[in-house]
Amino acid sequence: MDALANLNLATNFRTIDWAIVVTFLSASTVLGMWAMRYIRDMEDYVVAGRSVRTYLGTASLIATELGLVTVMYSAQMGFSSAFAAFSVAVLAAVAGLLVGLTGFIVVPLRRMSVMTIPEFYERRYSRGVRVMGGLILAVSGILNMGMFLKADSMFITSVMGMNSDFQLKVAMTIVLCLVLMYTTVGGMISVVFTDYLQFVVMSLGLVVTSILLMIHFGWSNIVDTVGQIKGEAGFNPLMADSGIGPSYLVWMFFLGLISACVWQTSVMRATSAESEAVVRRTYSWGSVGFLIRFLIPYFWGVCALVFVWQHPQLKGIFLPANVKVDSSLQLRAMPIALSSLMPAGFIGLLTAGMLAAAMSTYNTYLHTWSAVLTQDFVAPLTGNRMSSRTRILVARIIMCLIAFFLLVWGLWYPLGERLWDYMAITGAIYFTGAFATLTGGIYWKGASRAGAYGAFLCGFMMVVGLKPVQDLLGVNWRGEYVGLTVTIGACVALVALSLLFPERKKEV
Amino acid sequence: MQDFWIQLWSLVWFGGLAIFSVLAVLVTVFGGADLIALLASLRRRHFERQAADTAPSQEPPGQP
Repeated sequence: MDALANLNLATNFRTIDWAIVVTFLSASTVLGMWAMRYIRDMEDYVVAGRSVRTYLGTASLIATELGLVTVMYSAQMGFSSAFAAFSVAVLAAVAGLLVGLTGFIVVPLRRMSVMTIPEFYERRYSRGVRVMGGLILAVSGILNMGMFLKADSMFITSVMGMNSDFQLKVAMTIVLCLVLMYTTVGGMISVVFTDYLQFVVMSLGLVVTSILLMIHFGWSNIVDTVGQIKGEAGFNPLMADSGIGPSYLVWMFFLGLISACVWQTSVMRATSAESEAVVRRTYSWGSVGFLIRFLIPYFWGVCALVFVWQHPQLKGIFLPANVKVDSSLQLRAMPIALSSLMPAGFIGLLTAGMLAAAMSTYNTYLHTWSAVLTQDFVAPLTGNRMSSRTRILVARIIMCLIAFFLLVWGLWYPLGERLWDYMAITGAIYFTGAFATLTGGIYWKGASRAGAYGAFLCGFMMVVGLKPVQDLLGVNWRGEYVGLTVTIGACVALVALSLLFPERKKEV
Repeated sequence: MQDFWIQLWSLVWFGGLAIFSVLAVLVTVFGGADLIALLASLRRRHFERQAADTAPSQEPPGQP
């Protein structure tokens, strides 16, 4: 950020853009709070009374999965790996479509009418597995969310031309408070309502910005410039120089599958759906969203690369010869390029769209992790004697605590790896164990609680993938190797411990 | 080899953007209809439960 402060970068963000952003924020908040009148019990609060249909579910799924943080980390990947990064988007779409066509994991969960994944653990294994699974899920999810504010604030400040750290913190705190206000009050109904509004604004912003970028640079010019900067590595993901490579692609395909069928925020869409057919359709259509949520930001990152290449001052900062660029600095390339390229008036719409993306992700994540901690950790520990009203109150308190954590963690954690790799590793702390536990629990009768505990504990080894932990241990292992090894380890632990310690058959 | 990847990514980009544009229009239009249906269903449930909540108080005292 200091390197950029002296450049006096121009932004096209004007009064009309402020007006658009403020109007959007007000509309979102009013709509979210209005939904509170329909909350009567925990089922309304957590799964919107299971009344969500295909198109609304698709809007909500895409709006949630395409957060501003997604745009930021994907643009960073597009900036560093150029067109080769497109391969990850294709794999994510294929994985989402597979889940939609087969109903893998999500359909059995909907059939059981569970509200959260850990609820499944209790029905299939035991209350202890539910508490452990719920706690690891929430810790991993909240850590995963820890970088959202940091990344999102970088976009907002760069686009709006706010250079001081103080302005940045104030702006993001306001956004977080607005989301917190309507999510704590309205629950899943608010999430679905506001996700729809946010989907409309966001999709318009994404498509129009992409078209304007293509008009500005020209497709052939972009391709030629990438070829000039990176050679074949800018297009071929199988080359090691592309920053991707075959093992990374395998890891990305697995992540695509997991984020569709094991990650609680996606699964909430399945458990809120009206029927199993709606679950399948939502995921099949949603696979287009899984493709586009990476593809469009990758393209913006590629355009930022071309923009930086054409400006010698920026080239010296973002693409210095033989020096590794700081991850946090690299994240700012795309918003800086957009703030210079997009016309006044439209940049407000784009910012509103991106704020929409951020808010729809915050509200779902806040809602999901507080619901998981309430339903799967606090309630079982109190012997499930809590009334529906008490549960909603506990969920709201937890939501406020998570929001406070986000503010502190987002500003404190030193981001050593690419943002996407941080997200993948923190998420994997939970889902490597959960993948084994869920798949085994649904599709294998022999899976036992000992196996489930073993799989979760094994999954926790994923913390080794984080850069600060690796620095502490004095090792330098690639995230994909750690991830794939831990996943295989969790599956082996589930099978081995289930065979060694099978469930005792209940005497009749 | 580079030409193959360029052609592939061009196809993925233009195809993906076109499909998403169509999907966005469909989801905006029909999602709006779903939203209205959800609202109606929630309102119905809301009034049904309100009626159920008030019903016992109307029963004569002492009845099982």
